[in-house]
Formats: sequence, structure tokens, C-alpha cells
Amino acid sequence: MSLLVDLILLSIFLVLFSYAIRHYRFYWNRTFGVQGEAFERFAGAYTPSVSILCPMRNEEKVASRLLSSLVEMDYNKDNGRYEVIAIDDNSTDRTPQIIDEYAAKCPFVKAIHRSGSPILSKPAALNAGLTFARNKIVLFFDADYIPPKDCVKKLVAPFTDPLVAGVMGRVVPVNPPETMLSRVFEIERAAGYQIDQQARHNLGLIPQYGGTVGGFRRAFLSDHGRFDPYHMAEDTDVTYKAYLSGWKICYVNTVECYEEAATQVRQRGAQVRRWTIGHNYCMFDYALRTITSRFLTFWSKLDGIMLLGVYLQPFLILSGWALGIYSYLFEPPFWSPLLVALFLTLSYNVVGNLGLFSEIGSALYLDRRGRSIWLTTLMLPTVLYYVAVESRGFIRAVLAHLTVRRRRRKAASESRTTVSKSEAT
Amino acid sequence: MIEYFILMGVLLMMFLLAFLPGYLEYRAPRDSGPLRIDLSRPIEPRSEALRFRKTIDSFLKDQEWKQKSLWGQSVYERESKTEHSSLKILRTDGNMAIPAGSVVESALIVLGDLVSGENCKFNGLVYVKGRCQIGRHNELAGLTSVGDLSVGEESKILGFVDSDGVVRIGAGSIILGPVSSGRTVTLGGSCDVRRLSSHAIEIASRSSS
Repeated sequence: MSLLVDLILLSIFLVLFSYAIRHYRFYWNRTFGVQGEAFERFAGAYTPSVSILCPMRNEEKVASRLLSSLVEMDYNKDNGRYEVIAIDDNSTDRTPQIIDEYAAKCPFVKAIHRSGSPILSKPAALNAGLTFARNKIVLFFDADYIPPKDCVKKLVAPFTDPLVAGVMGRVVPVNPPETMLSRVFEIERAAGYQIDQQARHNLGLIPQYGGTVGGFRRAFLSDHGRFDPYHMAEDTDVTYKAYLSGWKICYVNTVECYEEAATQVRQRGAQVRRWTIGHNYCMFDYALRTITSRFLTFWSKLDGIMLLGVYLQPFLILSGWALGIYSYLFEPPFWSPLLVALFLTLSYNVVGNLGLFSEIGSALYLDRRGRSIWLTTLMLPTVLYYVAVESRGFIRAVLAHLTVRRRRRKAASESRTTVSKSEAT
Repeated sequence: MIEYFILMGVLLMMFLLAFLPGYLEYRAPRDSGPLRIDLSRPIEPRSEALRFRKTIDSFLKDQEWKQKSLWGQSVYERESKTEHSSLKILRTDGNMAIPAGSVVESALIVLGDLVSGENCKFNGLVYVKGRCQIGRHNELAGLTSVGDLSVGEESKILGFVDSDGVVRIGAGSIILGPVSSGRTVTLGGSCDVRRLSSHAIEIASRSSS
């Protein structure tokens, strides 16, 4: 038992340490390395036909702001080359009327109303919108986003590369600094995009499509079965579909787009839990296929696996704490000298944890946000909260996955029995 | 016993001290706004040149110019210091003629016409309010003019070439930045140009728009 606990503890330590190294690699690349371009020089020169999909459910407060931005977008709108498809997804407020007003005013705005739909999810709404999309490139914006005027021109530029299936821009929270959470969330987002995504782009790894402020070739979406309407992380799902079939996603850091981020702890918790379940589902689906993919390089595979395991980390941390306490109290490790354990723990605390915070610091430095760096330590309560929420999300994802598998196996065996019965008769 | 409480208190203070800067920034924010995004910025091929012109406008409003004489002409000079570097700027209110083989280290603002001789080198950006005629074999960091602009043969320009009027690029020139004009760009023979933007583009004697 003791040996098993020790081995698990060591494995957890190694996994977490490899994530720390990854943080440092990204931080170093972004702060001191050569920065890759995202076809910015083609922005405005390459203007393919574009359909923009905006799913909205009860978004009366923000719907007209998004639609106004898209109507005023700096893009060639002649001959159907630019269309905005606003999807009212079973709204019960004034959202449908707002969409209809814009559709009546602007010939390139289409209104789609989903009412009484059996599946209420963003991917289902996007699939409904895709049915009406006619143009070569399809971009997606959530209702609470505020795209700048040059956004579409910059987002479509990477499609000059025939291997690019999708693009992703940078999301910047716009909430006023009324709550501590919104300020902490802002610096967390900065690290995620300014460092993580851009470093992956620079290093030729796996920049991820984030579900909004981005888009795909319509042909790619048609070929790969569109979005899974039951998926809670359809963005990660489609990212892996792209990479595993030989395409790539291009991250464009200069396409900055404001979003209204969660300001309440509960709201944020629900969001993170949903992402955790969806992301872990992707891990179950794609981990093996990523390792065996013939399209990915060794480093891309490694990054792909680590990206899939991002939402497994909190569960590992929590398990590590629990096992560490158990081991300390009841079964001291076989390499017992407490000093070794203490050394590993301390060295991780100094080197490992700082990996994440160095990313945040570097992101704020690159954004020239001097004083916001002072907020870094306030991330600590948030990190602890995420560990709890994401661990719970991971357990739910595992249980749901097992249940689905059991149901599938049962359904398969029942269908086999039915077939054999019918053959016998 | 009291020692333990003191030790606990010190430890607690050290722990809380880590959160103090964050708390101060939260209570009295000095960096509160979201990252600034210019929502109305369109992609403009002339954006680099137009941004430079805006900077020039702000310099022209300043009074910190010192008069001096250069190539027999009266010019004004000032230094602009930024966080990381300092920039010298020369200004002339009338026309300016630059003798052949001269090297201009500063950025240059000419509020009249500019004519340069052969083999001149301009290490700073150039702004000309009138017409601009650059001689053969010149090397420039970048230039913009309100009036017509012509670049002599076999010149090399590292940045943008921009004009509200007609732009003529001499044969054998290399332009590493965008070439843009509010009217027409004429390329005289074979040139190496990265990016062209204009209402009309003429190449040698043939024209296309």
C-alpha cells in the first residue's frame, strides 16, 4: 500500500512538474523568443466571402451592440460577400425583435429563430446557423463581444494558407473593475492568450480555437460533421478534429476583442465546471488518437496531450494533497527521509508554482499593464477555488463517460441479440 | 508561550504582506481599465504614414525648437525623448535643398518643397508638406509628402513611401515598406516593391487601374 501511494505521489509530482516546465517554455518564448506572424500583411488584401454567426439566447442587453459592430465592420459587403446570421436560440426576452429589426434594416443581416427546439445548446444553435451560411469562411461571435472594425479583415488573413482550417483571436475582458474577481479574471485571460496561445503559435504547437472571436472554413466544418450539439467544449472538440485530420489553427494575437466576463463567483464557477466536463470528455476521446496521429510532430503531440490534460491537473493537485497528508501521517514514503519529500515540495513551490505566475507577469509586461502585476498574488484564492470546482468537474466527467460507455455497450449487445433473434426466425 | 504567539503573528503578517500590493491596487486602482483596444481602427494601407503625420503635427505645436544653420539654410532643431530612446528632429519652414552625398541623421520636417541630390542618406523619417524630389542612389528610412513625390533611380527605402498626390518610383529602386498614394503610383521600369496601394497604378508606359 505504502509503495503504491508513494508511486502515485511521485507520478503526480512528475506530471505537475512537466506542466511547470511548459509554463516556463511559453513564458521564455513569449518574452525573449522570435515572434511568429499571423499573416497580418495580408489583412485587407485578402478578403474572401464571410458569414458571421452570432448565437443569442436572452441577450437583449447586448444584442444590438454586437449587431451594430458587425454592421459597421470594415469589410467589403457587396454581392453577398459578407453576411451576418443572428440566431435567436429560444429567447424569451426582446432578443428576437432586436434581431428582426436589424434584418429589416440591413440586407446582409439574416435572422434565424429557433423556438421549441429539443436541444438547447450553443453548438446546436451554431449548426442551425451553419445551414444558412453561404460563404467560404464562417466566423463566430458570442453576443457579449465587442469586435473592433478591423477584426474580420485580420481574422480571415490566415486563410491564405491552404492548411489553415480555423483562426482564433484574442479575448480581452472589458468589465469595469468593480469586483476583485473581474480584475483577477482579466489578468488570467491575459496570460492565457498573450502567452499561452501566442507561444504555441510561435512554436508550431497547438493553438486552440476558443469558441468565439474565430472561425473556420465552411468546407472544413461540412466535412467534419459540424459541431457536436451535446458537447460542453465544442471548441476543443473541433480543434482536435482539425489537427488530427492534418489541418491547423492559426492564432492571431492582434485581433483583440472585448468580452463581458463573469463577475460573480457562482457564475464563474458554473462556467469553469462546464469547461472542465467538456474538456475532459475531449481528453477521453482524443488522447490516444493524438499520440498515434501521423500528422503531428513529437512536440505537437506532447503539447496536444498536455492541453487535453489541463483540466485534469486540479484533480491531481487535490489527490496529491490528500495522499501527501495520508502518507505523512500514516505511511512515510519508502525514500522516507522527510528531507527529500520536503525538498521536492519546496522546490516545486518555488519553481513550479512560479511558472504560472511568470506567465501572468510576462503577459502584463507585454501589455504594458504595470500596476496590474500587483494583483498577481490575489490569484491564489481563485486558484484554490478552481482546484475544488475543476476536481468536481473531472469526477463528473469520468462518471458521465463511464455511464455513456455502459449504455452504449448495453445498447450494442441488445441490438446484437435482436439481430440474432431475427436471423433465427 | 508568548513567543509562539509572536512567531505566529509574524508569520501571518508575512503571509498577508504578499497580498498587500494587490489589495492596494484593488482599492485605489491606477491601472484599472481593460486593455485598450481601438474599436474604430480600420485597416488602412496608409496607416503607418498617417500615424507619422499625426506625430509630426504634435511636434509642430511645441515651442521647444532651437534655430541653427545647415547647408546655408536656416533650420530648427529639437530633441524628443521617449522612455527608451531620444530622437532628433530637424524642421525647415521653407523649401530645402540637400546637397549630393549628405547624410541626415535626424528625422526631417520640411514645410515647403524638398529636393535632394545624388547619394544622400536619411536615417530618420521624412515629412514634406510640399513636393518632394529624391535624387538617384538615395537611401531613406521612410517618407511621406502632401504634394507629389518622386524617388530617384536605384534608391533604397527601408519603410513607407506615401503621398496625397502622385508617387513616382524610379527604375531599380527597392522599397521595403508599403507604397501608397491618394492618387496614382507610377513605377518607372523594374523596381522591387513589396506592397502598392493607390487609386491607379501605372507601370512604365502602360497603365492599369
